[in-house]
Amino acid sequence: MQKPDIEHETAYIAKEVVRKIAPEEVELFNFTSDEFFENPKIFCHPIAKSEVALGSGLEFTVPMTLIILPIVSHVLVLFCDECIKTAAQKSTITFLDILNNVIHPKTAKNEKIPHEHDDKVRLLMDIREISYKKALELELDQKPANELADSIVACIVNRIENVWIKT
Amino acid sequence: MPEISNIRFNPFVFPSETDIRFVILIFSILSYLLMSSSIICYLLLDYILLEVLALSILLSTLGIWYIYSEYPINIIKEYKTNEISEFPEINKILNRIISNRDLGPKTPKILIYNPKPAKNDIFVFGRQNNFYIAIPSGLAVKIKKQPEIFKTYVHHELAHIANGDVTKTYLTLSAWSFFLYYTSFYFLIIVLIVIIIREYTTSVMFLSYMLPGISLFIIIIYFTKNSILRIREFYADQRVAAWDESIINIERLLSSTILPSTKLEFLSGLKNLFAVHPLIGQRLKMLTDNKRLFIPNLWVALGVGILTYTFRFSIGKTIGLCIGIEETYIGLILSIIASPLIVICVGTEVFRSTVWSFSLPGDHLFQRCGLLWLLITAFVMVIGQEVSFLLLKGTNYLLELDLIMFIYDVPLRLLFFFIPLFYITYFGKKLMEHHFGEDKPSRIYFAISILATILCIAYFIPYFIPWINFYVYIALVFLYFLISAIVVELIIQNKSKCPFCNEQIKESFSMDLKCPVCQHDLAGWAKTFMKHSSG
Repeated sequence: MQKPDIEHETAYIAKEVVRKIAPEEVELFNFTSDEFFENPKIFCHPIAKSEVALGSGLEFTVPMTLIILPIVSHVLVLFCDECIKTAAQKSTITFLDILNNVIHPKTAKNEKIPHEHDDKVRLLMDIREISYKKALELELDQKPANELADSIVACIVNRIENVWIKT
Repeated sequence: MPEISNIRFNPFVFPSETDIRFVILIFSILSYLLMSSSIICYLLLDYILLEVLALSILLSTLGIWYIYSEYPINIIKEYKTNEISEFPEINKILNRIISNRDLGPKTPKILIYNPKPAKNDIFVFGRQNNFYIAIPSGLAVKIKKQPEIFKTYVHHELAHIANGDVTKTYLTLSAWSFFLYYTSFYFLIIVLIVIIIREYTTSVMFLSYMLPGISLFIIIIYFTKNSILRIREFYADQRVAAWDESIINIERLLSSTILPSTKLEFLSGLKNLFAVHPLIGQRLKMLTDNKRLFIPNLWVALGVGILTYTFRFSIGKTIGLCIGIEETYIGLILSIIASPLIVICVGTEVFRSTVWSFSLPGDHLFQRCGLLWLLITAFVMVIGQEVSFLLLKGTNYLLELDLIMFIYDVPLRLLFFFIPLFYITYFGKKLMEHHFGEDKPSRIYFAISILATILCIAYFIPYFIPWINFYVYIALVFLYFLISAIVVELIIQNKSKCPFCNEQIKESFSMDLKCPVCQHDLAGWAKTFMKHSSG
């Protein structure tokens, strides 16, 4: 996959996540994502306390968009190939089922998951784990970090499913 | 004829604490330039002081102005801001908030930016009536979720514009940046000169002698810069409270962002000296007890005490060595030059405090600046002088200290500071009466002034007689008081302009004053402030 494709996919998935988690930020999404893709490295670490001389001197939260974009970008760079590969296998079980197994492992505990889908479950679980850890790294609290990780997995799955249906 | 205690005065017509600190900063930088130039002249063994000084002042002014003028462009580049008009929904609400506060030509443009490391705060910048408020995107998205909080943030920045903080702050920052470049470059030049002239022993001796003076100036400039940046926040908060006619919004905003502070209050206070923003707790305290803004600040008194002596001693010594004149003669002239600083800075605080005491209901004359306060202020200035004296003369001074002379010296200095402050307080009272045209300056006032002057001269005669002409000294003391009077009058004249149409207004103390040309209520927000204080 080429860099512009990853950027395009990142922007698409991140926008979907923003729409779910922080809908008030959608208006500013393109402005934020354009700057993010110019230099993603500077947004990959928590934003330190401001030292602007004429500012209010108060602490500000970072917009969710600037937390979602680095996480989605990080995840896609790591797993993009696997995602496409998984989508190409045209599994009989929908991705929503797999997602259900990932998000609600307790309810799905008694059900027998077919062996051939274990890899997909593991893959999505890995995506979730990485997203969650990255969210904590970016100083998000545990609860919103969990919600964010779930939404990212859901949006990635949706995206893969859409691509799969089209192809 | 109304009683003076029943007239509600507006103490906000005076220079604010920010202005006072700004004067100290400019004075310190000029003094530093003077001192550093004279060291170069001494090392070059040539009497070209005026040329070097003129050149360094010219270069410094140009340098500071260049950095200052580049600030807006650099900020826009660095923050990658975008016009808010590209986001119609946010823009609509913001325009409503801004248009509610009539800032006339100072109305700012709004820019939005994405937070970056160490850059995530709403702030204002710009110059010459082209102001901008930069909003981080994280705050902009709160516009619908928490409209009141958002409005208060924007009001705080608008308050900085209304208070005239933007120019002062960026000039301060520019001066500090330039000062750092200048100092580095300066030491490089000194080293080069020393290498070229090969007068190592003299140079090292001279430098080690002057180094405490240089260090003291650097310390004063650094802390004054921080102090300017901190103090303006209190005034901005007060203006927001006055605009809202309540402190609820700003208090809620500050309380919601309170940060965990160190358990040791002393340490957090020390840490605050190095910070460019006041502690949230301090801001809350000032909001709920805003009379603190009008109590003469003892830190300013201490700073002025240190500065006047450093100015007199260090520069007197360097120039004296440079042009071959005895230090004490130059020192006296320099003391006279530094005198208006006492009047402008500490004097204004005392004067403002007097006006503040008038603005409270009932007869509260001198409640906030009574004789005890004047004495304490004068004493703190003496401490400042003695501290700088010890620092500049070194520990040897302690060993050689003549106790009798020292004991004589302290009350003399105390009186030296107390008399002008006392004079200003009475002068202020009478000046206000004069401005109202309700009362003519009384004979007692003149009697006190003359008595104060005579007392001052009488005290100083034995101190100065060995080396100065008595009549010259009398002339200098009179000059001192004349300068004080002119400075106070100038301050008042300058602040008598209508901020909306620039019309000169004579009776600027009245709380009910309206501009005769544009009919703006000139003391509107001050009235709210007073209501708040007395209520």
